[in-house]
Amino acid sequence: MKKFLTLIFTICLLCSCGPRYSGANGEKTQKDAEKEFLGSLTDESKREVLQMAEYFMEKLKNGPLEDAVNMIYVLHDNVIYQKSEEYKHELILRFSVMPVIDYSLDYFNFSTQGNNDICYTTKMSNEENAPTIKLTLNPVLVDGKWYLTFKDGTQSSKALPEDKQIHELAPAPTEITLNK
Amino acid sequence: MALALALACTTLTYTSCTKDYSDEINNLGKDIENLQTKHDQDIAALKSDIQSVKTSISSLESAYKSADEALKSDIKSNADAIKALQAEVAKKADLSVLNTKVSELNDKIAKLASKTELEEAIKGVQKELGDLKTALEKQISDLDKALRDVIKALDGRVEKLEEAVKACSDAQAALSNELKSLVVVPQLYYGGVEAVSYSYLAANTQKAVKALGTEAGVTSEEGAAAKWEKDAIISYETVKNVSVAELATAEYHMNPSTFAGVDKASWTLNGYDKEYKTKATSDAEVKVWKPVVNAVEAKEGDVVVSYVIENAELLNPAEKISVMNLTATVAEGKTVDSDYAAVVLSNVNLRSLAFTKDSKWNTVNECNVAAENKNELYNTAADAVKNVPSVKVTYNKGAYNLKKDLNIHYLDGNDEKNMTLAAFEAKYPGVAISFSLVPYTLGGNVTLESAFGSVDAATGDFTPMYWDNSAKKSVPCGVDTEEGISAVGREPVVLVTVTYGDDVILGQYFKIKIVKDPVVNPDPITITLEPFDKLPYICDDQMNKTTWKQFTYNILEALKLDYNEFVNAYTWDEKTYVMDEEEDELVESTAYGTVVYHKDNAGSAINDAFLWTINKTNAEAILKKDGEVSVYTGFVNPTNNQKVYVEFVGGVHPAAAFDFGANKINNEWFDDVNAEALNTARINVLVPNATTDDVTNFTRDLTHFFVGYKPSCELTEGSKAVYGELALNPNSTFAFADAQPCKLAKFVLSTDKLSLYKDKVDADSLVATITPAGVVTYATTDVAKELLNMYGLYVSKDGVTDYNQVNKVQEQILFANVQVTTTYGECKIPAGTSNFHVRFVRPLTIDFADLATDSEESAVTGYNIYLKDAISGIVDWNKQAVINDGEANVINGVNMYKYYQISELNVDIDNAERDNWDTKDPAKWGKISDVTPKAQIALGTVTVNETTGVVTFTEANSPIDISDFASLQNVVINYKNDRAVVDSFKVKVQLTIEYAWGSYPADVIITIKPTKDTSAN
Repeated sequence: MKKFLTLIFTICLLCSCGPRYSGANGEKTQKDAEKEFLGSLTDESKREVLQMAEYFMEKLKNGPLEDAVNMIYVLHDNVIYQKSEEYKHELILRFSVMPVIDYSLDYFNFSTQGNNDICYTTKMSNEENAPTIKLTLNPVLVDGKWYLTFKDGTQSSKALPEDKQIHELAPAPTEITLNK
Repeated sequence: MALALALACTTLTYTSCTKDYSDEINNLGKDIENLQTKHDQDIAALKSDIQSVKTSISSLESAYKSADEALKSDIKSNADAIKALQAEVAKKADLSVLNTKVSELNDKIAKLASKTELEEAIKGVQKELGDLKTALEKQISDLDKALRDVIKALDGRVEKLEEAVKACSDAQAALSNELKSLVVVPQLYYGGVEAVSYSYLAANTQKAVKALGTEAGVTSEEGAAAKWEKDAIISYETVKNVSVAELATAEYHMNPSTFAGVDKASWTLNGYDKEYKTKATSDAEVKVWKPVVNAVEAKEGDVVVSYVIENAELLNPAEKISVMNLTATVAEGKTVDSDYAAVVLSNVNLRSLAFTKDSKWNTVNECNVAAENKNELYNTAADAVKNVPSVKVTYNKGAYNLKKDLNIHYLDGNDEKNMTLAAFEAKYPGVAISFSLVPYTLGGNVTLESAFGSVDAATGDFTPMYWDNSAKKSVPCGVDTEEGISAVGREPVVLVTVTYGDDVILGQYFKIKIVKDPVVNPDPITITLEPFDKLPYICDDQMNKTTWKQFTYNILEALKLDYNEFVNAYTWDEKTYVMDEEEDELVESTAYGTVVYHKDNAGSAINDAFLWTINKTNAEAILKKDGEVSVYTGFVNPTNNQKVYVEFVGGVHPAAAFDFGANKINNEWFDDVNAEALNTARINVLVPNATTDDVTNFTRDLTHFFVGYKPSCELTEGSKAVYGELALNPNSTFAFADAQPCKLAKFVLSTDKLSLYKDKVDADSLVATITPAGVVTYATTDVAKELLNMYGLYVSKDGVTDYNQVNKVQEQILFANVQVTTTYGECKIPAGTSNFHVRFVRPLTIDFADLATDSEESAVTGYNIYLKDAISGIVDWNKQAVINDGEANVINGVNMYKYYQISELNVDIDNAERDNWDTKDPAKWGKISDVTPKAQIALGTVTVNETTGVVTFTEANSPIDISDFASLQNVVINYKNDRAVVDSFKVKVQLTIEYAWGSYPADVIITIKPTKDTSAN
């Protein structure tokens, strides 16, 4: 009886390896990470971050710029950091040289913990054919809280050509943590 | 209608390229369909009309024809009759017969009327016929005219329809030809802004250094002294920086994507960096960066713009962002602008010209570009002369193209890369590659080495030459003849320059040797040794060894050499190689280990000839390749460039696997909520005894669930063959698993997976902790206690308490999923995981009972309802009663009531409710203070005068201290109806018992008996 139970337990142990992922060797892929993240994201959470982004844009538009810039964090090597004073100064200068006179939401897309898009088209003057430029935020969710960062460098987004986006079978992204 | 349609078509306004025009297009499509349908219907109707008219005409024609034929027939009959008569008259026959005939005729004629009458009749008929004909002709003419009018009208309608269709088509065409917007396709991002990447080539202009004529000290590899001709360019000096503009591309979505006027429009790029200016040497000259369009082409709905940026080094100045947009001028005065994109600059630094790997030519100059070694050209003519020739050209095989053997090495950021010359020239328009020969003599020769060759400056075609004494000039060597054999052995030096505009930005050299025999670089030979057995995956370095015996057999036999011939001819290159990703060439790499060749122990069958050392990192890399790889090391024969690679095949077994925890103490394990047998350990507070009185100790060492207090970790049968003899020292560590299937709460983990939280990671939300050694502790936070009391029971829905029963009621079971990770070796090689559940059992279960008054209301005292009766039973997790027969239970000398620290009774008197107050809905509950304000309900205690038996109620506030069990006995709720006569009703009040592990609430229903009418008393 004991041997039988041991055998059954051994079989159960061998089978209890957790969920099988879609990687060739069962490893977790980008596709699995997206499915998990989107499955855990509530409508309330989505609304929360969209409202946060909207508030940020309003502050860019109506000022003070410092209030808007204070909402921005920096994502570097999978860690969320407060921005430096130097970067904060650079952002204030940038938005004063290229002001946001008006804006409209282009699209938003949720993908994984550290890769999401909220894209706005901004107008830089009051003229009828004012020059426009797109500004894309990359909100990051850490421990249930959203942090606004800018999409930067070669980070993936839905606006990029398909061959520059992350392939669904690429390894799942590393978890992002908050710098403490 | 056409105009309306056209207007409708042109009033579509643009808001965004991403706006969906499908509705408008669908509507337009429907309009056109409707128009088409109506057009078809009209045409059909017209055709029908025409057909009808045709039918009418046909009928009229038939009628006319019939009348005409009838008339003709009559006339003919009469005429025939007359002819017959004439014939009769012409006959000279019997006059009587004639008379008779004439008489008959006369009779007939009489009947026919007189000739005149006949003529008149004929005339009349003729006239009638004429009139009829005229009428018919008029009718026909009228009909014809009417038909023509109808046809004309129809034509008019068709024409209008055609115009309408054309107008719509024109409108459509106008739409598709009207560019509405352009949107950049980003290549990357710059601080949130969509961006395109641009690199310029950073180089240095070079100044040629010319020979003065008789410099000494430069000798060839064979010791011959070199002498430069005067003014020969023998090296270069850097002058200043220059940036070479890249021909880059940017892509823009067009709206509409079918815009057909890409070729007709004119396109410009505009830079936006307006506050930036650089002062040049002259105040009048202001340098700015400027994008310039090179070419534009349409591609799958987008427009692709190739462009260069002048003064690209001015991009991205400090505290500014450089942006650029595209403008299309589609008609005079009509432009369409794209949105702006940031321009992100990357720096590319020109490094060197070099021979390609395929050319197999070498120099002594190393470079770090992957798989490219020792093939960068020389920076001075002297270096080229001093070293062995790089390129061998056969004298009598015609021109040899040098350009194809070269590429460009450059630094992209910190990465060293290369590209072909063709790609280089395409990417940087304005650069040019050119070839020339350096005039110099060697040793005692008086003829310049450069006279033995000519090179086309642009194509790089090198043609061996020889001095033709009779022609007094250098002429090309013959092809496939021996003409020009005197060129053999000569060593012309080639100068390759890269220019940008008028400036040289790179000038490098290499030496050619003109040879007699065709240059054939032999293909390398690969010799594969017998595969090694796979090695176990362990922490220590391991070695695969090849004996001399194998070396002799495989290598020497394959090359048909003896040992001395081999070691004299071949030099070990001291490198380890692997096949590249494409599996078509070897690349230097120690990813799978390092091969060392021992040369000095020849003749011994014991000593190792080759040692292939594999460390843990190598083993991991090998495992990623399905556990088996080949590595190589190389030998080369310098005299004929013959390379020999020795291939070693070997591998690593997958990590050892272990069976964890086969030695469970079965009685301590229970069937899981998801029916996995014996996969749940129960965690509870301690059993109270005389020495254990800390009920808050909710800690359990999970290793105690295994025999010997240590979970077993045995190699599986499959691993024993490989790892059975090794001392692996497996170790198991505990943590909470990522997947927490318990649905009672949303559990989240700390980063180290040793803490379990509800909803969020913060101290107040802690539920439980676990140590790597397997000690689980349930937390004492309010969140944890609430969870425990709400869900930690072990009672199934039907009320049966049985730990061993397979309990499918998941929502009543509070558990965490624990993961055990097994590793082995000092470096902790992962050897698998196993999971089991840890169930947290609530310390107490309190049963509350509904109450009822058992006596009639006393007009003076009201009702006293004893709350001790509401608590029908308190049982602990171990099924031990806490109160028994109305007294605190004592087990093992421990007062259970005190052990569980039952301390307070909260009674929410203020929110007590009653039913039967609303005549329309007697079942409806209402707050007593609202619905029957005259009723009095209070919490308190009672005392009984032993002598008089009088019961006295004393009001008290909630909570009431019930830490002493006896004090619970006298706690009551007092209810008075204020002498009102009422029927039976119910009162609902919430009771909460506080104990060591939090609050245990329940609603208690008290049924109040009808009031006796006291007015009679």
